[in-house]
Amino acid sequence: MKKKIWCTLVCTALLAGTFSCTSSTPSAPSAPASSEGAIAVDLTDMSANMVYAQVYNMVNAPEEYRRKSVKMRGLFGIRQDEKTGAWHYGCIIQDALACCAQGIEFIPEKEMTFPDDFPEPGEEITVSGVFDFTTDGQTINCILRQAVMEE
Amino acid sequence: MIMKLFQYLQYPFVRYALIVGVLIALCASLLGVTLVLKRFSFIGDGLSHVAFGGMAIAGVLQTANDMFVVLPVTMLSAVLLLRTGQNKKIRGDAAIAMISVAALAFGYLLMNLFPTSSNLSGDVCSTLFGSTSILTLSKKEVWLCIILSAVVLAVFVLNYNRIFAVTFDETFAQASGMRADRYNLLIAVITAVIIVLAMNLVGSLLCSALVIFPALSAMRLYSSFRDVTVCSAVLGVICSLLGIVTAILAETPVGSTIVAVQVLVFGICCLLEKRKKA
Repeated sequence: MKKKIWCTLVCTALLAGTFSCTSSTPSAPSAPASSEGAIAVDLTDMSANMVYAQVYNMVNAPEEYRRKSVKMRGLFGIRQDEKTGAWHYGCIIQDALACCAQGIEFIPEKEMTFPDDFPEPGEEITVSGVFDFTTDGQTINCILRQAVMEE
Repeated sequence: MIMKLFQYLQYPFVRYALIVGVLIALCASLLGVTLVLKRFSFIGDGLSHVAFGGMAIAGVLQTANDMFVVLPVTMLSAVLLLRTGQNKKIRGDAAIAMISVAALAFGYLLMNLFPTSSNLSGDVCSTLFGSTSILTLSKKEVWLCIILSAVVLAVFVLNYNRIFAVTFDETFAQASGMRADRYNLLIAVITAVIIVLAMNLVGSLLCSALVIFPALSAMRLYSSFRDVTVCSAVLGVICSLLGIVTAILAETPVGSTIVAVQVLVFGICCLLEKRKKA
Protein backbone atom coordinates (compact mmCIF):
# COMPACT_ATOMS: atom_id res chain seq x y z
CA MET A 1 0.00 0.00 0.00
CA LYS A 2 2.72 2.45 0.99
CA LYS A 3 4.41 1.81 -2.36
CA LYS A 4 1.26 2.88 -4.23
CA ILE A 5 0.86 5.98 -2.09
CA TRP A 6 4.52 6.89 -2.52
CA CYS A 7 4.14 6.39 -6.30
CA THR A 8 1.16 8.78 -6.30
CA LEU A 9 3.14 11.32 -4.29
CA VAL A 10 6.18 11.05 -6.58
CA CYS A 11 3.97 11.48 -9.67
CA THR A 12 2.42 14.58 -8.13
CA ALA A 13 5.83 15.97 -7.25
CA LEU A 14 6.99 15.38 -10.85
CA LEU A 15 3.84 17.08 -12.15
CA ALA A 16 4.42 20.07 -9.86
CA GLY A 17 8.08 20.13 -10.91
CA THR A 18 7.11 20.17 -14.59
CA PHE A 19 4.92 23.21 -14.05
CA SER A 20 7.59 25.03 -12.10
CA CYS A 21 10.18 24.31 -14.84
CA THR A 22 8.14 25.68 -17.76
CA SER A 23 9.31 29.20 -16.95
CA SER A 24 10.50 31.22 -19.96
CA THR A 25 13.30 32.89 -17.99
CA PRO A 26 15.19 31.73 -14.89
CA SER A 27 14.13 34.75 -12.87
CA ALA A 28 10.47 34.08 -13.74
CA PRO A 29 9.17 37.61 -14.19
CA SER A 30 5.46 38.25 -13.74
CA ALA A 31 5.07 39.13 -17.42
CA PRO A 32 6.75 37.53 -20.46
CA ALA A 33 9.47 39.66 -22.03
CA SER A 34 8.84 41.45 -25.32
CA SER A 35 10.82 43.29 -27.94
CA GLU A 36 11.22 47.07 -27.70
CA GLY A 37 8.29 49.06 -29.05
CA ALA A 38 5.90 46.10 -28.89
CA ILE A 39 3.15 45.76 -26.28
CA ALA A 40 4.81 44.03 -23.30
CA VAL A 41 1.60 43.18 -21.48
CA ASP A 42 -1.41 42.71 -23.75
CA LEU A 43 -4.42 42.22 -21.49
CA THR A 44 -6.86 42.29 -24.41
CA ASP A 45 -5.60 38.87 -25.52
CA MET A 46 -6.41 37.10 -22.22
CA SER A 47 -9.42 35.49 -20.55
CA ALA A 48 -11.24 37.38 -17.76
CA ASN A 49 -9.58 35.39 -14.94
CA MET A 50 -6.11 35.89 -16.42
CA VAL A 51 -6.68 39.63 -16.86
CA TYR A 52 -7.86 40.00 -13.27
CA ALA A 53 -4.89 38.01 -11.91
CA GLN A 54 -2.40 39.90 -14.11
CA VAL A 55 -3.75 43.31 -13.04
CA TYR A 56 -3.67 42.13 -9.40
CA ASN A 57 0.03 41.29 -9.87
CA MET A 58 0.71 44.61 -11.56
CA VAL A 59 -0.90 46.51 -8.68
CA ASN A 60 0.93 44.43 -6.04
CA ALA A 61 4.37 44.36 -7.71
CA PRO A 62 4.35 47.54 -9.82
CA GLU A 63 8.17 47.90 -9.93
CA GLU A 64 8.35 44.81 -12.21
CA TYR A 65 6.19 46.53 -14.84
CA ARG A 66 7.53 50.11 -14.73
CA ARG A 67 8.09 51.60 -18.23
CA LYS A 68 6.53 48.57 -19.91
CA SER A 69 3.85 49.18 -22.51
CA VAL A 70 0.47 47.85 -21.48
CA LYS A 71 -2.73 47.39 -23.46
CA MET A 72 -5.95 46.72 -21.56
CA ARG A 73 -9.70 46.49 -22.06
CA GLY A 74 -12.16 47.25 -19.28
CA LEU A 75 -14.89 49.55 -18.07
CA PHE A 76 -14.36 53.29 -18.19
CA GLY A 77 -14.33 54.89 -14.74
CA ILE A 78 -13.95 58.51 -13.67
CA ARG A 79 -13.58 60.46 -10.42
CA GLN A 80 -12.93 64.07 -9.53
CA ASP A 81 -10.31 65.10 -6.98
CA GLU A 82 -12.18 67.03 -4.28
CA LYS A 83 -9.18 69.28 -3.52
CA THR A 84 -7.88 70.13 -6.98
CA GLY A 85 -11.03 69.51 -9.02
CA ALA A 86 -8.96 67.52 -11.53
CA TRP A 87 -10.54 64.56 -13.31
CA HIS A 88 -8.95 61.10 -12.98
CA TYR A 89 -9.74 58.47 -15.61
CA GLY A 90 -9.49 54.74 -15.05
CA CYS A 91 -9.89 51.38 -16.75
CA ILE A 92 -11.62 48.90 -14.42
CA ILE A 93 -11.24 45.12 -14.70
CA GLN A 94 -13.69 42.71 -13.04
CA ASP A 95 -13.10 39.05 -12.16
CA ALA A 96 -15.22 36.15 -13.46
CA LEU A 97 -17.64 36.47 -10.53
CA ALA A 98 -17.86 40.24 -11.14
CA CYS A 99 -17.63 40.82 -7.37
CA CYS A 100 -13.99 41.96 -7.29
CA ALA A 101 -12.56 44.75 -9.39
CA GLN A 102 -9.09 46.18 -10.04
CA GLY A 103 -8.54 49.51 -11.74
CA ILE A 104 -5.62 51.34 -13.33
CA GLU A 105 -5.67 55.10 -13.85
CA PHE A 106 -4.63 56.44 -17.25
CA ILE A 107 -3.36 59.84 -18.32
CA PRO A 108 -4.18 60.57 -21.99
CA GLU A 109 -1.26 61.48 -24.25
CA LYS A 110 -3.26 64.24 -25.98
CA GLU A 111 -5.26 66.82 -24.08
CA MET A 112 -8.82 65.58 -23.71
CA THR A 113 -11.80 67.03 -21.89
CA PHE A 114 -14.57 65.24 -20.04
CA PRO A 115 -17.31 64.49 -21.08
CA ASP A 116 -16.81 65.53 -24.75
CA ASP A 117 -13.83 63.30 -25.58
CA PHE A 118 -14.70 60.31 -23.37
CA PRO A 119 -17.35 57.59 -23.39
CA GLU A 120 -20.01 57.26 -20.69
CA PRO A 121 -18.70 55.86 -17.35
CA GLY A 122 -19.25 52.08 -17.34
CA GLU A 123 -18.76 51.71 -21.10
CA GLU A 124 -16.08 49.32 -22.39
CA ILE A 125 -12.81 50.94 -23.48
CA THR A 126 -9.42 49.74 -24.80
CA VAL A 127 -6.42 51.75 -23.62
CA SER A 128 -2.71 51.38 -24.24
CA GLY A 129 0.06 53.29 -22.50
CA VAL A 130 3.29 53.12 -20.53
CA PHE A 131 2.98 51.64 -17.02
CA ASP A 132 4.15 53.72 -14.07
CA PHE A 133 3.23 54.15 -10.42
CA THR A 134 3.33 56.72 -7.62
CA THR A 135 3.34 56.16 -3.87
CA ASP A 136 1.35 58.12 -1.33
CA GLY A 137 2.40 56.80 2.08
CA GLN A 138 1.52 53.12 1.95
CA THR A 139 -0.84 53.53 -0.99
CA ILE A 140 0.44 52.65 -4.47
CA ASN A 141 -1.28 54.32 -7.41
CA CYS A 142 -0.76 52.62 -10.75
CA ILE A 143 -0.92 54.80 -13.84
CA LEU A 144 -0.78 54.33 -17.61
CA ARG A 145 1.06 57.36 -19.00
CA GLN A 146 0.91 58.55 -22.63
CA ALA A 147 -2.33 56.63 -22.85
CA VAL A 148 -4.22 56.28 -26.10
CA MET A 149 -7.83 55.15 -26.22
CA GLU A 150 -8.78 53.02 -29.18
CA GLU A 151 -11.90 53.95 -31.14
CA MET B 1 -6.70 26.40 -27.24
CA ILE B 2 -3.55 24.37 -26.51
CA MET B 3 -1.42 27.31 -27.74
CA LYS B 4 -3.38 29.61 -25.46
CA LEU B 5 -2.75 27.28 -22.52
CA PHE B 6 1.00 27.21 -23.21
CA GLN B 7 0.95 30.99 -23.49
CA TYR B 8 -0.76 31.22 -20.08
CA LEU B 9 1.75 28.78 -18.57
CA GLN B 10 4.45 31.40 -19.19
CA TYR B 11 2.93 33.38 -16.33
CA PRO B 12 4.26 32.37 -12.89
CA PHE B 13 0.89 32.90 -11.18
CA VAL B 14 -0.68 30.25 -13.44
CA ARG B 15 2.07 27.75 -12.55
CA TYR B 16 1.69 28.61 -8.85
CA ALA B 17 -2.07 27.98 -9.13
CA LEU B 18 -1.51 24.58 -10.74
CA ILE B 19 1.12 23.50 -8.19
CA VAL B 20 -0.96 24.61 -5.20
CA GLY B 21 -4.15 23.20 -6.75
CA VAL B 22 -2.56 19.77 -7.27
CA LEU B 23 -1.11 19.64 -3.75
CA ILE B 24 -4.33 20.75 -2.03
CA ALA B 25 -6.43 18.31 -4.08
CA LEU B 26 -4.03 15.46 -3.27
CA CYS B 27 -4.08 16.14 0.50
CA ALA B 28 -7.86 16.64 0.59
CA SER B 29 -8.67 13.53 -1.42
CA LEU B 30 -6.32 11.28 0.60
CA LEU B 31 -7.89 12.30 3.88
CA GLY B 32 -11.37 12.42 2.35
CA VAL B 33 -11.61 8.61 2.33
CA THR B 34 -11.09 8.44 6.10
CA LEU B 35 -13.51 11.30 6.77
CA VAL B 36 -16.26 9.82 4.58
CA LEU B 37 -15.85 6.34 6.11
CA LYS B 38 -15.87 7.76 9.65
CA ARG B 39 -19.10 9.68 8.82
CA PHE B 40 -17.19 12.94 9.27
CA SER B 41 -18.03 14.33 5.81
CA PHE B 42 -19.64 17.41 7.27
CA ILE B 43 -16.69 18.28 9.53
CA GLY B 44 -14.93 19.83 6.52
CA ASP B 45 -17.90 22.09 5.89
CA GLY B 46 -18.05 23.11 9.56
CA LEU B 47 -14.33 23.86 9.72
CA SER B 48 -14.43 25.88 6.51
CA HIS B 49 -17.02 28.17 8.09
CA VAL B 50 -14.77 28.48 11.13
CA ALA B 51 -11.88 29.39 8.81
CA PHE B 52 -14.09 32.15 7.37
CA GLY B 53 -14.52 33.49 10.91
CA GLY B 54 -10.74 33.21 11.42
CA MET B 55 -10.16 35.17 8.23
CA ALA B 56 -12.40 37.95 9.55
CA ILE B 57 -10.44 38.05 12.84
CA ALA B 58 -7.16 38.20 10.86
CA GLY B 59 -8.61 41.11 8.89
CA VAL B 60 -9.47 43.00 12.08
CA LEU B 61 -6.03 42.31 13.60
CA GLN B 62 -4.39 43.26 10.26
CA THR B 63 -1.82 40.48 10.53
CA ALA B 64 0.97 40.17 7.95
CA ASN B 65 -0.27 36.73 6.91
CA ASP B 66 -3.89 35.62 7.53
CA MET B 67 -2.72 32.00 7.83
CA PHE B 68 -1.11 32.68 11.26
CA VAL B 69 -4.56 33.43 12.71
CA VAL B 70 -6.80 31.22 10.55
CA LEU B 71 -4.76 28.05 11.05
CA PRO B 72 -4.69 28.02 14.91
CA VAL B 73 -8.38 29.06 15.12
CA THR B 74 -9.43 26.27 12.74
CA MET B 75 -7.22 23.68 14.48
CA LEU B 76 -8.66 24.65 17.87
CA SER B 77 -12.19 24.34 16.49
CA ALA B 78 -11.35 20.92 15.02
CA VAL B 79 -10.25 19.74 18.47
CA LEU B 80 -13.34 21.31 20.05
CA LEU B 81 -15.63 19.64 17.52
CA LEU B 82 -14.05 16.30 18.29
CA ARG B 83 -14.39 16.76 22.04
CA THR B 84 -17.95 18.15 21.82
CA GLY B 85 -18.88 15.27 19.53
CA GLN B 86 -18.14 12.87 22.41
CA ASN B 87 -20.40 14.88 24.70
CA LYS B 88 -23.73 13.13 25.16
CA LYS B 89 -25.64 16.40 25.69
CA ILE B 90 -24.62 17.93 22.34
CA ARG B 91 -24.25 15.26 19.66
CA GLY B 92 -21.63 15.40 16.86
CA ASP B 93 -23.81 16.76 14.04
CA ALA B 94 -25.38 19.40 16.30
CA ALA B 95 -21.91 20.49 17.50
CA ILE B 96 -20.69 20.92 13.91
CA ALA B 97 -23.80 22.91 12.94
CA MET B 98 -23.53 25.06 16.07
CA ILE B 99 -19.85 25.96 15.69
CA SER B 100 -19.95 26.45 11.91
CA VAL B 101 -23.01 28.73 11.88
CA ALA B 102 -21.74 30.75 14.86
CA ALA B 103 -18.32 31.22 13.19
CA LEU B 104 -19.93 32.26 9.90
CA ALA B 105 -22.20 34.78 11.63
CA PHE B 106 -19.44 36.26 13.79
CA GLY B 107 -17.09 36.39 10.80
CA TYR B 108 -19.56 38.39 8.72
CA LEU B 109 -20.39 40.59 11.72
CA LEU B 110 -16.69 41.39 12.27
CA MET B 111 -16.17 42.11 8.56
CA ASN B 112 -19.06 44.59 8.69
CA LEU B 113 -17.96 46.24 11.93
CA PHE B 114 -14.28 46.51 10.94
CA PRO B 115 -14.17 46.63 7.13
CA THR B 116 -10.61 46.32 5.76
CA SER B 117 -11.51 47.66 2.30
CA SER B 118 -14.27 49.66 0.64
CA ASN B 119 -15.46 46.59 -1.28
CA LEU B 120 -16.96 44.48 1.55
CA SER B 121 -19.17 42.39 -0.74
CA GLY B 122 -16.11 41.61 -2.89
CA ASP B 123 -14.10 40.52 0.17
CA VAL B 124 -16.94 38.27 1.40
CA CYS B 125 -17.51 36.86 -2.08
CA SER B 126 -13.84 36.00 -2.65
CA THR B 127 -13.53 34.40 0.82
CA LEU B 128 -16.69 32.32 0.39
CA PHE B 129 -16.24 31.28 -3.24
CA GLY B 130 -12.50 31.61 -3.78
CA SER B 131 -13.04 33.80 -6.83
CA THR B 132 -9.58 34.13 -8.46
CA SER B 133 -7.61 33.94 -5.21
CA ILE B 134 -5.75 30.82 -6.42
CA LEU B 135 -4.40 32.95 -9.31
CA THR B 136 -3.24 35.75 -7.04
CA LEU B 137 -0.95 33.79 -4.69
CA SER B 138 2.40 35.26 -3.72
CA LYS B 139 5.62 33.21 -3.72
CA LYS B 140 5.56 33.10 0.11
CA GLU B 141 2.02 31.71 0.12
CA VAL B 142 3.00 29.07 -2.42
CA TRP B 143 5.95 27.95 -0.27
CA LEU B 144 3.80 27.89 2.87
CA CYS B 145 1.28 25.73 1.00
CA ILE B 146 4.02 23.37 -0.25
CA ILE B 147 5.45 22.95 3.28
CA LEU B 148 2.04 22.37 4.90
CA SER B 149 1.03 19.92 2.15
CA ALA B 150 4.31 18.01 2.59
CA VAL B 151 3.69 17.78 6.35
CA VAL B 152 0.12 16.54 5.80
CA LEU B 153 1.24 13.94 3.23
CA ALA B 154 4.11 12.73 5.42
CA VAL B 155 1.83 12.39 8.46
CA PHE B 156 -0.73 10.47 6.39
CA VAL B 157 1.78 8.06 4.85
CA LEU B 158 3.71 7.45 8.08
CA ASN B 159 0.51 6.80 10.08
CA TYR B 160 -1.34 5.03 7.31
CA ASN B 161 -1.80 1.71 9.18
CA ARG B 162 -3.02 3.39 12.36
CA ILE B 163 -5.38 5.71 10.47
CA PHE B 164 -6.71 2.62 8.66
CA ALA B 165 -7.33 0.86 11.99
CA VAL B 166 -9.04 3.87 13.60
CA THR B 167 -11.17 4.43 10.49
CA PHE B 168 -12.63 0.94 10.33
CA ASP B 169 -12.90 -0.23 13.93
CA GLU B 170 -12.09 2.28 16.62
CA THR B 171 -13.15 -0.04 19.44
CA PHE B 172 -10.90 -2.85 18.19
CA ALA B 173 -8.04 -0.39 17.72
CA GLN B 174 -8.45 0.74 21.34
CA ALA B 175 -8.71 -2.85 22.59
CA SER B 176 -5.46 -3.70 20.80
CA GLY B 177 -3.63 -0.99 22.74
CA MET B 178 -3.78 1.82 20.20
CA ARG B 179 -4.58 5.29 21.55
CA ALA B 180 -7.46 5.98 19.17
CA ASP B 181 -8.13 9.41 20.73
CA ARG B 182 -4.70 10.61 19.65
CA TYR B 183 -5.23 9.51 16.08
CA ASN B 184 -8.70 11.06 15.97
CA LEU B 185 -7.09 14.28 17.15
CA LEU B 186 -4.41 13.93 14.46
CA ILE B 187 -7.09 13.44 11.78
CA ALA B 188 -8.97 16.52 13.04
CA VAL B 189 -5.81 18.68 13.00
CA ILE B 190 -4.81 17.52 9.50
CA THR B 191 -8.36 18.21 8.30
CA ALA B 192 -8.11 21.74 9.68
CA VAL B 193 -4.82 22.33 7.83
CA ILE B 194 -6.31 21.03 4.57
CA ILE B 195 -9.43 23.17 4.93
CA VAL B 196 -7.35 26.32 5.50
CA LEU B 197 -5.24 25.50 2.42
CA ALA B 198 -8.32 24.64 0.34
CA MET B 199 -9.87 28.04 1.05
CA ASN B 200 -7.40 29.53 -1.44
CA LEU B 201 -8.50 27.11 -4.11
CA VAL B 202 -12.28 26.97 -3.91
CA GLY B 203 -13.29 29.35 -1.11
CA SER B 204 -14.71 28.40 2.27
CA LEU B 205 -18.20 27.34 1.11
CA LEU B 206 -16.91 24.81 -1.42
CA CYS B 207 -14.03 23.37 0.64
CA SER B 208 -15.76 20.15 1.63
CA ALA B 209 -16.31 19.26 -2.05
CA LEU B 210 -12.54 18.72 -2.39
CA VAL B 211 -12.66 16.32 0.56
CA ILE B 212 -15.77 14.26 -0.19
CA PHE B 213 -16.23 14.05 -3.99
CA PRO B 214 -12.98 12.22 -4.94
CA ALA B 215 -13.52 9.73 -2.10
CA LEU B 216 -17.18 9.11 -3.03
CA SER B 217 -16.30 8.74 -6.73
CA ALA B 218 -13.50 6.27 -5.93
CA MET B 219 -15.89 4.27 -3.71
CA ARG B 220 -18.15 3.72 -6.76
CA LEU B 221 -15.27 1.97 -8.55
CA TYR B 222 -13.28 0.19 -5.83
CA SER B 223 -14.03 -1.49 -2.54
CA SER B 224 -10.74 -1.94 -0.68
CA PHE B 225 -9.36 0.92 1.45
CA ARG B 226 -6.04 0.89 -0.43
CA ASP B 227 -7.58 1.07 -3.92
CA VAL B 228 -10.13 3.69 -2.88
CA THR B 229 -7.38 5.88 -1.35
CA VAL B 230 -5.15 5.72 -4.45
CA CYS B 231 -8.09 6.23 -6.87
CA SER B 232 -9.38 9.13 -4.75
CA ALA B 233 -5.95 10.83 -4.87
CA VAL B 234 -5.70 10.40 -8.65
CA LEU B 235 -9.27 11.65 -9.27
CA GLY B 236 -8.78 14.59 -6.89
CA VAL B 237 -5.63 15.75 -8.70
CA ILE B 238 -7.13 15.27 -12.20
CA CYS B 239 -10.36 17.13 -11.30
CA SER B 240 -8.42 20.00 -9.76
CA LEU B 241 -6.11 20.35 -12.80
CA LEU B 242 -9.03 20.11 -15.25
CA GLY B 243 -11.06 22.60 -13.21
CA ILE B 244 -8.28 25.21 -13.03
CA VAL B 245 -7.40 24.90 -16.73
CA THR B 246 -11.08 25.03 -17.78
CA ALA B 247 -11.71 28.08 -15.58
CA ILE B 248 -8.73 29.92 -17.05
CA LEU B 249 -9.64 29.12 -20.66
CA ALA B 250 -13.44 29.37 -20.39
CA GLU B 251 -13.47 32.48 -18.15
CA THR B 252 -15.46 30.81 -15.37
CA PRO B 253 -14.96 31.10 -11.56
CA VAL B 254 -12.16 28.71 -10.52
CA GLY B 255 -13.71 27.18 -7.36
CA SER B 256 -17.10 26.36 -8.78
CA THR B 257 -15.55 25.00 -11.99
CA ILE B 258 -13.41 22.53 -9.99
CA VAL B 259 -16.48 21.40 -8.03
CA ALA B 260 -18.51 21.10 -11.26
CA VAL B 261 -15.80 18.84 -12.74
CA GLN B 262 -15.87 16.74 -9.56
CA VAL B 263 -19.67 16.37 -9.77
CA LEU B 264 -19.33 15.33 -13.42
CA VAL B 265 -16.67 12.73 -12.56
CA PHE B 266 -18.85 11.45 -9.71
CA GLY B 267 -21.71 11.00 -12.21
CA ILE B 268 -19.41 9.10 -14.61
CA CYS B 269 -18.22 6.87 -11.74
CA CYS B 270 -21.84 6.12 -10.78
CA LEU B 271 -22.58 5.11 -14.38
CA LEU B 272 -19.46 2.90 -14.47
CA GLU B 273 -20.54 1.26 -11.20
CA LYS B 274 -23.99 0.48 -12.63
CA ARG B 275 -22.42 -0.93 -15.79
CA LYS B 276 -20.08 -3.09 -13.71
CA LYS B 277 -22.98 -4.50 -11.69
CA ALA B 278 -25.18 -5.15 -14.76
